[in-house]
Amino acid sequence: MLAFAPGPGPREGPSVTSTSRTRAPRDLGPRTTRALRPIVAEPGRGGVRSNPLEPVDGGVRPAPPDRIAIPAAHVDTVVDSVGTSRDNAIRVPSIGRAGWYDGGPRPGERGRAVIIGHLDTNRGPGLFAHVPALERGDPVDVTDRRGDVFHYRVTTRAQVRKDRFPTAQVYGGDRDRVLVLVTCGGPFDPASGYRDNIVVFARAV
Amino acid sequence: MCERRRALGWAGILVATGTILLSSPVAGEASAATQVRLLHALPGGPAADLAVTGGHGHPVTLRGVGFAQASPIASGPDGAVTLALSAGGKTLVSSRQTLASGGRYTVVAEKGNGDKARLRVYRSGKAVTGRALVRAVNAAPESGRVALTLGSRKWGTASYGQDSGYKAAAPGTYALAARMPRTRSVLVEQKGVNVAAGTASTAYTVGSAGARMRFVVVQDSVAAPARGPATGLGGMADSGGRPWLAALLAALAAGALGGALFGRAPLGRGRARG
Repeated sequence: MLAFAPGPGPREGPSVTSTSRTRAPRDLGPRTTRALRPIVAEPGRGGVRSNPLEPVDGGVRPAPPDRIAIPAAHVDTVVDSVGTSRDNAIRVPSIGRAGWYDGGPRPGERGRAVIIGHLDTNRGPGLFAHVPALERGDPVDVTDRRGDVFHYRVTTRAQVRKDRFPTAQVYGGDRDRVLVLVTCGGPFDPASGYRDNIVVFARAV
Repeated sequence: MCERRRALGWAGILVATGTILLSSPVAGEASAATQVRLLHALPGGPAADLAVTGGHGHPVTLRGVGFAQASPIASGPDGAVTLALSAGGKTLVSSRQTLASGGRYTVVAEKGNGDKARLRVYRSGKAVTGRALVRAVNAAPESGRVALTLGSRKWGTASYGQDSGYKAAAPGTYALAARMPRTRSVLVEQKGVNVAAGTASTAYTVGSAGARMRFVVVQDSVAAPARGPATGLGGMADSGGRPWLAALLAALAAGALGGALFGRAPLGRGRARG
C-alpha cells in the first residue's frame, strides 16, 4: 500500500499545534484587547452575483467526461455524471458504468476530478474490481464529450474508512490536474456494506 | 392467548427490525469543528504564531507563519475565544472574538495604527456545487483603494481592510490583478490563478508599506459529498453477496426470539397463580 497523499494544503513553514484542554494556556502577556467585528460574507447572504467569466489563459473548459480507460484494471467504459442525494451522499453509477462527480472539476482541469465505480456487484466483481491493485505509473485515460483525451498516471493509493472519509483531500482545488478514482474496500458487513474506500490519485502527464 | 402471543411475536419482529435499522452506522457525519487559519499580512513583520484559546474545545496554536504565508487550517475552539498573535515570544496583539461552531475563519494579521499589529477575522463562505466562488480582500495597508480584476472583468473595488464579497466565476485559470481605480495601472498581477468548480476561494492582496505587493490565494471551502461512496454490494466479499437477505434473516431470528420470550412470560405467571 502506498502512502496516502494529502491534498494541497500546507506548504513548508507554518505548523499547527493542538493542545489538550487540560493543559493550561501559556501566559499571553499584556493584552491589547480590541473588539473586532467579524466580516461575514457567505453565498446567499452577502449576495453572490452570477458573473460568469471566460478564463484568460485556460482556454475553453474541457467537456464533461465521456469514457475512462484503465488498461491495468481492465476498465474501458462510459462515464455518467453523478451528483449527491438529499443527505449529501454521492450517488453511485449504474453497474458497469463509472460516475464522475459533477459538482467538482472536470477531468482535464486543474483541481481534483473524482470518478467512482463499483468494486463488486452482489454476484461478483464490478467495474472497479481491479482498481485497488493499481500501481504507481499505471496509465488512466479520460475522454471528454468533445473527444479530447486527458492522460494521467497513478501516483498514490490509500485505504480510508468511509466514516472518516478525507473529503478535503479528495475533492476540491489543486495546483495540478488530478484524477481521483474511488471504490470500496476493506472488510464487508452484510448490514452496512464495505467499511472502507480505496482512493487512487493520478496526475496528468 | 394464542393471538396475543402471535401479536407479541410480530411486535418483537418490528422492534428487532427497527433496532437493526437504527443501529446502522451513519458514516461521515458533518464535522462541527471550528476551523481557523492565520494569514500573515504584516509587511516586514517576523514569522508569527497565533494562539486560539478559551471558548469551548481544545486550544490551538498556529506556528511560524511568515509574511505573505497562510498557515494550514486547523480545528480550534468555538465560542468566546481569545486570539493572540505573538512573535519571538512577545505578544503583538490579542483580541476577543466569537467564533461559531462549525465555522471556518481566516485570521489576518495586518498593520494597524502606527507600528501596531491588528487582527481581522474573515469568515469563509460555503462553496456551491459546480460553481467557483471568488472573493478578494485588500490587506495591503498602503495600496489605497484598488480595483480588482479577474481575467478581463472587474471584480470590484476594495479599500484596505475591505472585501469584494464572493462572486461566481466560470471554473478555470485566470490572471488576477489589482489596479489603480482611475488610471487602471497595474499594482500587482498574478497569472495562473486557478478557481475550481465546487470551491470558494479568497485572494488577499498583501504587501506595500515597504514590501512587494502580491496575492495570497487560499481555498475557503469545498462543496463535496459528506462521506465515501457506497460502491460495493459484497459479491467479492467472503461473507456472501446478499446483504439485504442477511439483514432480513437476522431481523426474523431476533423477532422470533423476542416473541418467544414475550410469549412465555404471561404463561409463567399464570402457572404461579394456579
